[in-house]
Amino acid sequence: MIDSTAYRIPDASPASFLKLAASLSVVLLTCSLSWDAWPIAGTLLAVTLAGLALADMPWQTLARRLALFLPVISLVALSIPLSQGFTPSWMQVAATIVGRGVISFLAGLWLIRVLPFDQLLVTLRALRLPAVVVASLAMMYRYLFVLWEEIARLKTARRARSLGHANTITQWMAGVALVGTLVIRSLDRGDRIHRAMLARGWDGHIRS
Amino acid sequence: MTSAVAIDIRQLSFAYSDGRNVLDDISFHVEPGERIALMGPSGAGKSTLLLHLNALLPDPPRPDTPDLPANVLIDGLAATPGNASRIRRRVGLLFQNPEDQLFGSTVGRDVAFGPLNLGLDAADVQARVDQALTDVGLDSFAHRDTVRLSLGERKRACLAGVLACHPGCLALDEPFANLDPQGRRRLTDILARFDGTLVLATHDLQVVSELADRILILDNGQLCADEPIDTILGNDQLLRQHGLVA
Repeated sequence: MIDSTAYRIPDASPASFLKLAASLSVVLLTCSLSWDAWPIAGTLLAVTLAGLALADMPWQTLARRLALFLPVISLVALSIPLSQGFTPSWMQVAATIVGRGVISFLAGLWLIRVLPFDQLLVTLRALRLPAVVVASLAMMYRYLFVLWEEIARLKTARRARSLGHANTITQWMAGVALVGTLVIRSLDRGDRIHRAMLARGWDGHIRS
Repeated sequence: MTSAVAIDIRQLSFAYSDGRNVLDDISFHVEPGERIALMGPSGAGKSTLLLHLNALLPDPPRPDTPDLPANVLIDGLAATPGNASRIRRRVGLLFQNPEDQLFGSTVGRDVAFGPLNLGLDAADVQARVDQALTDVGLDSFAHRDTVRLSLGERKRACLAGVLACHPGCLALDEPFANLDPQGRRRLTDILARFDGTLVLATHDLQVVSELADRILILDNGQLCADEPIDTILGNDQLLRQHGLVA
């Protein structure tokens, strides 16, 4: 006998709301703080790190995620003085951007750690986020794995033909070609998925 | 299930927007409940023809009567955008790559996608999901994450999603591609039990001999043969000519 709730999306639990609210509160509070309020920012950072520790987030994983995020937020921070000139307070502005970015990023990581994506979608739906947004997020999450597998296949195929002789420039060129291939394949896939949805009666309305 | 569906294709020609001519003056008729196999080398136009059966491609005007656009008739309904919804209720299309068709987060939710779009109430949706999963042997998979399925399981989950819409015709695009022998056997048995019209695009002669009554050979967009299965399988030269045997 199949579980009678096989297709139904479960209701959002109060705990899910609390987790989402806590994470959003940290992000909003962090983004509303000025440079002078660094003690509060420090407290928020400490609270978020404590939350991650309580959620058993491995520190190596955290360091790897930060290593990916820090260059991006640093470039964003650097773009302000580059576009508006190096005023006396440019370092302060850049540091504020990096600080806000890092705390918000950590709060997001905590949320992902404590709230499964499926539950997050249910909670967003319960908060009356438009169904089409929730459905888009669900599809994005579903196809992230497919895209990841596609990248792995392309990289393996590239390695298999590089025969270990590729220099840095060749590797960069191959990387650019890989991204191009991926974009084209993703567009094609999007087209095929849309057809598959139409074939099963999709008329642009989300039903659950 | 919707009653078995009749298919009428009349002088269908089709070219994609890049100018590639994929189908060239194709005509054939399928009786309700008939089981046909579409065979031919890769790029022959089989997948494009299947998309036409589901009104997923624009129906071009007929060469002899441009004012009559009905090249594809499903139970007498022209495959036009206005009839698309009614046609898709009758014809269930299984795509070649399960990743294109399996977009639900869990198997149960994915199978429910079609019935929900049919506007059924919760009890009916549930009943159809249960039945379809049982039919394909995935009754314990309802809560399983769709990314954690083997290829064979993905194909069966996709088929469950199509069967849950209770189509009168199944149009299947290479359903046996990349399946191991056990997976092929399972899928063959499921399809053998289906009592509607069956249109099967495949290269697999063994499966065709089990499932089809009639074979249509497409090559380079043209219909090269339309004969009962014994006639085609007995014509080694024809099979060789169209790349169906090595």
